[in-house]
Amino acid sequence: MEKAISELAKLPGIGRKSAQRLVFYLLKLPKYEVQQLADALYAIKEKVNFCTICFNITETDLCHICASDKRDRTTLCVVEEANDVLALEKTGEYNGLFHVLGGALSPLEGIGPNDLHIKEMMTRLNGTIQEIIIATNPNTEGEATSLYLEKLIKPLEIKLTRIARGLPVGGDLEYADEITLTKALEGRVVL
Amino acid sequence: MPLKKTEAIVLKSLRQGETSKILTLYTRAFGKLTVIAKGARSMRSKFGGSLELLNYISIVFYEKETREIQLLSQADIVEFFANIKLSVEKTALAMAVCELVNNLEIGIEPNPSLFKLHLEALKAINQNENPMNVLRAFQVKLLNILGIRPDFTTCSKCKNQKQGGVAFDITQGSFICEACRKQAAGMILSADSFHALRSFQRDSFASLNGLLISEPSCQQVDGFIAAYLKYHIEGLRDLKAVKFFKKL
Repeated sequence: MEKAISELAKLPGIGRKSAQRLVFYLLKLPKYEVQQLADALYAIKEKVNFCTICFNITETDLCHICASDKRDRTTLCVVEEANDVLALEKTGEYNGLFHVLGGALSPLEGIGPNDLHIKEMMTRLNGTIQEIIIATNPNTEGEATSLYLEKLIKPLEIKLTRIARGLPVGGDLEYADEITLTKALEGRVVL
Repeated sequence: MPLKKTEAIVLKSLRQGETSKILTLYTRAFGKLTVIAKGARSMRSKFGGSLELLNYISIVFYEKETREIQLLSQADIVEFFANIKLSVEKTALAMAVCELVNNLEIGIEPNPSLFKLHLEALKAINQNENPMNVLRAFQVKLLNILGIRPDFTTCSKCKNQKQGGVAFDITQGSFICEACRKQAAGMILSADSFHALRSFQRDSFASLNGLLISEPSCQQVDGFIAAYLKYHIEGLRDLKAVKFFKKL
């Protein structure tokens, strides 16, 4: 029991009390369901890899996006994490390729350019890519990453774009903060 | 639970659960404060972009003395330092200022001088053409506030007031003049480095724009500041943000 609690408490966002509650919940489950959970967790480490081209999550050498011949190979969308690929894929609006950096530059955490898949991204810019969309998170670290990538990519004279930042759909303008409104005004579009 | 209001600078931000954030703030009235901002990572959060790192904000929180993490109720931006966020280098140096304040064991006691210095440093990095000098000056001025002010005007041995020295005795917090050099060991500093350190201690951030320091003196000054801080502040860690800046 103690071992299970301390292992679960290592997970992000789970404290000791939550870990205890999870262990008591697992105790009440039938044995086969706990086995299924254990097998699924083990399979994550056994079967799931990172795509050798874009570092998205995959069970084969290449992810389904890099392996597909239906994707637009002239556009590359750069994101922080594989979760961001899932979010953008859900929109159904993007048909290009992805590159997962594996995080964002973080001076406070000591995460520098060499800790991200930036070199691998640069090797992909070999003439086929005509547009790069930087889709890092719209926070301080995401912006710093975007600025750093801009410095690297600009001399290559490839079209470089940043996803728009501004007001969320369904939000009220009067409650928006100054940063969000400034970004919304900067990114305004002609009707 | 009483509602408390103060101004704060966002030092650190951690993800908590699905949509929340745990923030370390340096506040004007309550010193270093840890708060939880529920739902802050959600796209429709009432906090919007106010809780971004480095922001100078006005906050309202529920205070419960028995709780280590207070509950944030409201946050509004006072200043978001747009120029800092348009430069990776400035972002790294502004974060170094915040990291240093966060690493100090300052607790919940308010320190208006430190808050003012911290804010002035961020404003200066936002406007200054040489943000690295602002970080250096912040560190030297911080020593004054912490009560470990280095003395660049009195020789630690002969106690004579002089304009310059050749070395600095970090343990005594004072310089060693040319005449006393044989009697005392110390960190060797050039006249240029002494001049720069005195400027950092005495002059305003705004006047540092015109201060030119040679590369060897920059290295001496950085070595001096790091050694002085480490000697006088027990357990102080190297700044990750400065290492990051040097890698850029």
